[in-house]
Amino acid sequence: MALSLWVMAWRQIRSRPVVTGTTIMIIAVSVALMLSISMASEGIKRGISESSAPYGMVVGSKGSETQLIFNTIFLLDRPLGNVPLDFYEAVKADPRVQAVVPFALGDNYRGYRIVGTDERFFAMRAYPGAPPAFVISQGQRFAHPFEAVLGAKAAQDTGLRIGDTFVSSHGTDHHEGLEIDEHREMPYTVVGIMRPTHTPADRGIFVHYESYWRLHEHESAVEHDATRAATSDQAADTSHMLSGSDSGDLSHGITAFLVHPKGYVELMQLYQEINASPHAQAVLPGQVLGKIFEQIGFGAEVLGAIAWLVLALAAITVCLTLYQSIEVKRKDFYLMRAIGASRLHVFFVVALEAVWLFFLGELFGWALSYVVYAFLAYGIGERLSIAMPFFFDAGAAWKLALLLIGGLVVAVMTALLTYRTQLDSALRVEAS
Amino acid sequence: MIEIVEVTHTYRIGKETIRVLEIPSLVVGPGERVAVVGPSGSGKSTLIQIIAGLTLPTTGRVVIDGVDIGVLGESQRDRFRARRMGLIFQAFNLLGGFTALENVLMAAMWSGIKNKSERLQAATALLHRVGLNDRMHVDVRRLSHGEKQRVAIARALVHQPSIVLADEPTASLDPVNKTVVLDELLALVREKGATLVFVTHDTTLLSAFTRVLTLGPGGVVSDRSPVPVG
Ligand SMILES: Nc1ncnc2c1ncn2[C@@H]1O[C@H](COP(=O)(O)OP(=O)(O)OP(=O)(O)O)[C@@H](O)[C@H]1O
Ligand SMILES: [Mg+2]
Repeated sequence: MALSLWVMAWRQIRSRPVVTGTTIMIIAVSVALMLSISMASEGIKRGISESSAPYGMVVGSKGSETQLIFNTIFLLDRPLGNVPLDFYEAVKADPRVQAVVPFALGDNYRGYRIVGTDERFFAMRAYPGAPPAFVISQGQRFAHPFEAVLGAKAAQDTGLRIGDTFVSSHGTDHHEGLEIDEHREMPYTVVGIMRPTHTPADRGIFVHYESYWRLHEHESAVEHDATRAATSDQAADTSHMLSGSDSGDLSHGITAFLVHPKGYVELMQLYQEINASPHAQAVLPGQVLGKIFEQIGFGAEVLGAIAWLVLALAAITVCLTLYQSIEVKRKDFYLMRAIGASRLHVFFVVALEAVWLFFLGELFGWALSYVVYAFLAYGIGERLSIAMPFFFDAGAAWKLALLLIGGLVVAVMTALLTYRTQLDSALRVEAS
Repeated sequence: MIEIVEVTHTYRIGKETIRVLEIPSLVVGPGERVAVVGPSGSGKSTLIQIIAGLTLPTTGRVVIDGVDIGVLGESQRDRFRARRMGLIFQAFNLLGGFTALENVLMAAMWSGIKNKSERLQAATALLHRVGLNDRMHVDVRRLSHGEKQRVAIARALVHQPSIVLADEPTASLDPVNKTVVLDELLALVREKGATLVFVTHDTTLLSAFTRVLTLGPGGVVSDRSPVPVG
């Protein structure tokens, strides 16, 4: 049995389980807060990057580039207007283009967005040579209009199975209880379900874009009849035609398309040409995401600053706790001195107590940060289908080291306080 | 050997000062067993602390085994005390959270017994001696009052001190334990040839000592051999 000063300090804190437990918890929680904030922002970035990996350059109509990315890749926000079909055809025919994947958006089934695309969607890859990003796990790909392939989450949440039919409705959101604009005459049939990708695509329902065209051709015809029958409704009809966004008129175009050029030079040429044209904009998801990350980073920095503040408060709390316990332990120090411990011995025991508290607090805090992260990842996964990967946060290492040094400073400060008061008032303890 | 020369001690509380001790001369020779009695507040504990070098007297000198402890630096005094003296108090003698054996070992370590197995041997032997063979590995907080004071005795004697200072170690014990603990202490002190200064309120214990020192408001009131109690 070695009664080193470390062991003595450890025994001392162990002999006050409540105070010790609380102190360690305070440190652990604030450490976890600080670490999980930076880890979560990094995790979200990684998740977003992975989600957008298979999408090369996205082309859509002029407007917000963030909106274009959000809508096409993350199935959020509302679609921009349509790209004229002949423009799409022209890009597709361009010799510098290797492949294009069209996307038509604007309808939903119970809030799960219906993405009109074609068989080339299934050829998308995160990078050349990677396995296909989207794979069927049950059934088969859509081959004809009004056949639908469900994303894993969409399938799970809606309960739709292969062979089931459903009708889509206009718009991007599901309006429970409201009278919705359903396309009742033309139902979809589920023919396949995709393997989970842990990206927002899991929430999509993928159909051939021709379905959109047919639906909206049909609708236009019906609307025309209706307009002829009731000319008073003209204003509303016109606004519907012009808006082209939420309830876009898809019979003459598509919402966006991906372009995979043959090489980097071709990519840059096409990027500039498309952006120079009056019909569309080309967006590189990486660049837009970079801007979004800056925002996330800024938010994380603010939160991180708050976390540091909380941590500073925790340090002060620990300092106070230790100082208060000195009052209680004055007798112990007195005794230690009386049986031969030097001032320095007592100083070290007090300092090492603080070191223990910080060390354990940080250790638990570090573990706790992964628990917090797991909860966050689960929540974000559920809501946005963005997979936040687990990873070892190297930044945490230096933060923890820094904290341990901070803990040492607190320890030395506390010990110095003890050092000065060790004997004077101890006498009163003895006298009483 | 303890020599006290013209020692006075005053405590200062704010602007007020109270003189609690005034001893023109006192010599306690090797092997003497001195009981210190006197009313509460007469300065008994203060005297013990001054002899131990835990408190420096306001004036005067304390010489232990030829060494004037007033001229020693604080850490030297700490080391001197650790080697030469064993201290026992009325309460708070032990460090909670440590076993009886560990408490004794700690004192052995700080008193400068370098050899580990020697420390262990001395500590175990003493704990056996005071009848705590089967309680050695118990956290001292779980021991009874009597057991605690016996651990304190073992702790005070583990390093073979030449002087044992005890400040009412039996005050919180029941009459039976009181005599048992005192007898154990006296036997050990006699065996090791140590000097004992023992503060007590209990006049029934005095016959066991070679000398009784009575403190009063003005200082030493009487210094004599014990009067057998009838
Ligand atoms: N650290 C201190 N500061 C101020 N006054 C003190 C201090 N220690 C003791 N005193 C006072 O000095 C006087 C003597 O105290 P001391 O403890 O030596 O008495 P005592 O004889 O041991 O009493 P008791 O029998 O109650 O233990 C008391 O009046 C006490 O209040
Ligand atoms: Mg006293």
